[in-house]
Amino acid sequence: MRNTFIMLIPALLLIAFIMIVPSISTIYYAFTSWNGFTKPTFIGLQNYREIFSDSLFWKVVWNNIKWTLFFLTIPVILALIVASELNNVPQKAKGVFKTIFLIPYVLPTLAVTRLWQAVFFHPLHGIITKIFNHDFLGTPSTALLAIAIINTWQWWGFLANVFSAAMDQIDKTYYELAHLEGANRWQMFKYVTLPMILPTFIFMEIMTVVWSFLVFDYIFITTQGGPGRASEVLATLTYKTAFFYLKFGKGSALATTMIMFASVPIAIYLRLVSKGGERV
Amino acid sequence: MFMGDTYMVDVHLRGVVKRFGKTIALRGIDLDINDGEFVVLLGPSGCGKTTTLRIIAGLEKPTKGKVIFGNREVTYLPPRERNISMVFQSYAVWPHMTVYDNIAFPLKIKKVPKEEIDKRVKWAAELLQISELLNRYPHQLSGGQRQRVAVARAIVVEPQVLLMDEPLSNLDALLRVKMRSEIKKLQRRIKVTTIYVTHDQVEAMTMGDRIAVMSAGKIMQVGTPWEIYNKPANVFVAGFIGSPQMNFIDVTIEEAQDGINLISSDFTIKLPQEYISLLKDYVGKTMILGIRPEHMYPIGYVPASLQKKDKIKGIVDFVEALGSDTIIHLNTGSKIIVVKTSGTYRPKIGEELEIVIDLDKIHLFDKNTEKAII
Repeated sequence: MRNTFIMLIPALLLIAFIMIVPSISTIYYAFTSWNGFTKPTFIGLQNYREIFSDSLFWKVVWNNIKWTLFFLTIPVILALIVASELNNVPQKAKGVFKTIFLIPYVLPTLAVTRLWQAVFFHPLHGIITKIFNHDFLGTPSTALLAIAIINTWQWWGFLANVFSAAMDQIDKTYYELAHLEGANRWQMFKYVTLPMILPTFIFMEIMTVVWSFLVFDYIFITTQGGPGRASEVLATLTYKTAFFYLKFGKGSALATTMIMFASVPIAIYLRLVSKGGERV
Repeated sequence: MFMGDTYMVDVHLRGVVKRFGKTIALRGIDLDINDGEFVVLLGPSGCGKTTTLRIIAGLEKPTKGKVIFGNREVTYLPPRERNISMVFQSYAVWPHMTVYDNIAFPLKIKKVPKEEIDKRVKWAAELLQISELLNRYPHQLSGGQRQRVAVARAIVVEPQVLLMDEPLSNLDALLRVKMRSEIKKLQRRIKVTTIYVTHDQVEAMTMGDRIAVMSAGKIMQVGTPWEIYNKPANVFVAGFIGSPQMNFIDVTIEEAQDGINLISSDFTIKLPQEYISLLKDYVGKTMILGIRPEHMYPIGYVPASLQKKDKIKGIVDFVEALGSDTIIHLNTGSKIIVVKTSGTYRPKIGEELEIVIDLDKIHLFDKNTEKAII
């Protein structure tokens, strides 16, 4: 027993160093006023009072919520439809399609985002700009949507692959039985596919919520939260607060709110998993 | 509907051929199944029995041939328009639905009113003795209970034809025996035309009104269990049915003064005069003699009723004592003959034995066509 614990020490130290120490530090700095150079001053809940009373914070949270709702639906529906259709494709062709769909996901985010910015959303020559005669990225009301479209392009293929892999695990006789009993394709999806891939589906939805509250790269590369604050999200606001305005204390407090938002779906997921565990 | 009345149809297969790419799975299946009959498709793995069932179900389309229900051709109709039900080997009971919802599902799809669904689900559950399990999920059930749910789900729609694809092969031996009789009793009660696929000859013999023995995409024989066992049409059927397997010995036919001699390399068996006319075309030729192990008796164990008999000799090579039976492997020189006798008889290995053959029960097959002559 004691030997087992000794064996765990290196791994525990590593985890402590790379996870626990920075987390605790962040929580500590959240209660301080610190510009990153001088000694931090303990100010209690002052950072949180300022954050929660700032309308910008709530606007940013709302942007995160909109982003989350978009990613909980559009790419998921797209991926589910494509994954279901892949079930009706011969095995070899299925492999080819799955590979093609996965390509955008393995490209670097910076390259994808810059490419979309230049080819589709360029304010003058972008293909989408020309088709709709509208500068999506440059207009406050559509900037977030445009970035979400770029992210979706990179993301949905991966999601389709994950759903397709889950669907591959479904015993084909379930479909045959439903077919014999007169179920149509929608009923087969509703009564066989969806319930059977539910654990994967829930996991991906929960992770979507987590990732949506942590989203940073797509927004920072394209608009840096602009125009104005139109596409500002929690992560870009946190980054700017800490590294642009050198308010590391407030930035840490913002980071902890992100952790709180991301923790809720994780808690729900863990609860579902423990409940589901009883049934499986 | 069956909740009391009968509702059934006869099924006919006409020249059904099925190819999967270059592989020919079925080579022209002709089969007539009467309404309310329990027919078993029996054969080894890969013989085409499941493909035949899937074509009847509409899950596969035949390359050639017709499937007829009553006087309606259904060859290219989708399964839902055939009024059939199927029980799969894996049961296919949906894990995310309660037993009640599983049984109710096919009715729900057909938009049957809720009260009617409730009535029918309860009827099917009662018939299968699973009424107390209706609120449970499949993972809370044993294999046997899941099997019952699958059968209940199949009969609740009152199909004209009930198809079963090796439904008992995932159960343990004891439960299989129990379910065998229960399925048979249920089929007798609801009188649905049933087509049952299995590779287990005991299941086939105990459950089927008739058995269609299949091999390599062809039906080798259709008959009652009695016919299949006692009058096998060819070497394949003779060898496939019966345990231990029938003994096959090459013999030369020779006409003698008072009968026919079957001459093998190890022994000669003498058949009475009445066989002369049956075997006159084979005199001088080689045939395959088939004798079931249970139709040979050691001295002292010969039934008094045995009329036509002859003896062979051999040395006991191996003995399998099964309790109720003893299986003797008898070395007759160049062949091992298997004899099944009473469990009370235990010969010693190396002992010389004289074995009496019941000549009324022997089979003779044409060496070239492998068809039964006697």
